[in-house]
Amino acid sequence: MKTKPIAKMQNRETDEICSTLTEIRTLMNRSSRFLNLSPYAPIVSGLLALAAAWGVNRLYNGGWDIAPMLQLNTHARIQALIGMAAALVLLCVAATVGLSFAEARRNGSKIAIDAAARRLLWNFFLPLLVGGVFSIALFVGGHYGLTSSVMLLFYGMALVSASAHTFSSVRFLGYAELALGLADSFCQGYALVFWAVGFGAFNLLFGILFLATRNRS
Amino acid sequence: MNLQLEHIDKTLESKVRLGIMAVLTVNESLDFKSLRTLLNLTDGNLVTHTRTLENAGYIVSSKQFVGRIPNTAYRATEAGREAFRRHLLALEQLIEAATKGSGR
Repeated sequence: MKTKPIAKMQNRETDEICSTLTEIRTLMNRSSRFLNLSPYAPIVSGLLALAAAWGVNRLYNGGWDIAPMLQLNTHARIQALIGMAAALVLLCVAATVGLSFAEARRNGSKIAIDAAARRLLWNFFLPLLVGGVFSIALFVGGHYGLTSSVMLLFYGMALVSASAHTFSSVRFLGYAELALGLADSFCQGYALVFWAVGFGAFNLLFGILFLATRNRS
Repeated sequence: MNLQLEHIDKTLESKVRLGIMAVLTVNESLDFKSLRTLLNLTDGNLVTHTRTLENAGYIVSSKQFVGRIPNTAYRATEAGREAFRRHLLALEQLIEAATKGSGR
């Protein structure tokens, strides 16, 4: 092996080394990142969020602005709002899990909650859970105006922290949510608009871009 | 030609062993089952290759018991990471030299 002259090396051999290197590269990626995330998951979640925002808008009789409506926050409305939020979270998680399983089948990979998937779940849900509890605390305390920016900020943090364990492009969605969340914290009275853009439009847009780039490659 | 052929590592010439090293360099540690699924190997096959790598000092294993079932976890050593890096570099140089040599 060592004595073989390099110049006379067969093309077939270099091709073999090339394909080995490619395989090694895929293997390294596959073992350290969860790559069965479906591009339809953010699309579905975005559409659900837009529907929810529309529902909340109806609930408040067409106003887009929750903060100055403190006096309009009747008990029944708050209950409906929290119920819708809970339903939305459950639907989005269910859709993402279901679509990921379909994606795993499509990729022909074994459906397994492996180390990479566990790392992704932990790094995504830890910031999200902390943010969720904090939002509830704000909401209970009557700080309605800040709730949407806190939700956006923690969602952005969760995405950035999760991006190390799945497609790295996820971090760009995270940056966008963070910028929007910060902007929201300085603007008063447009909570629902910011929320709808961040959770609805941004997710939807990211999903469409994700789908387009995946199909190209 | 200034090729560092001595960096072509005999231990890593096997595709399976190269694969094991690749996976272990990007992960802190992996257990037997994950390695087997990732590389699509049989138990016996994986044991043989991990033993070779252990003997070369490229990986270390630690056996734990989950209930009564033994669970072996593997980690790449510093020497193993260095050997893997050098081997890949040598392969790259080989390709470079060969593609130049054949005028491609």
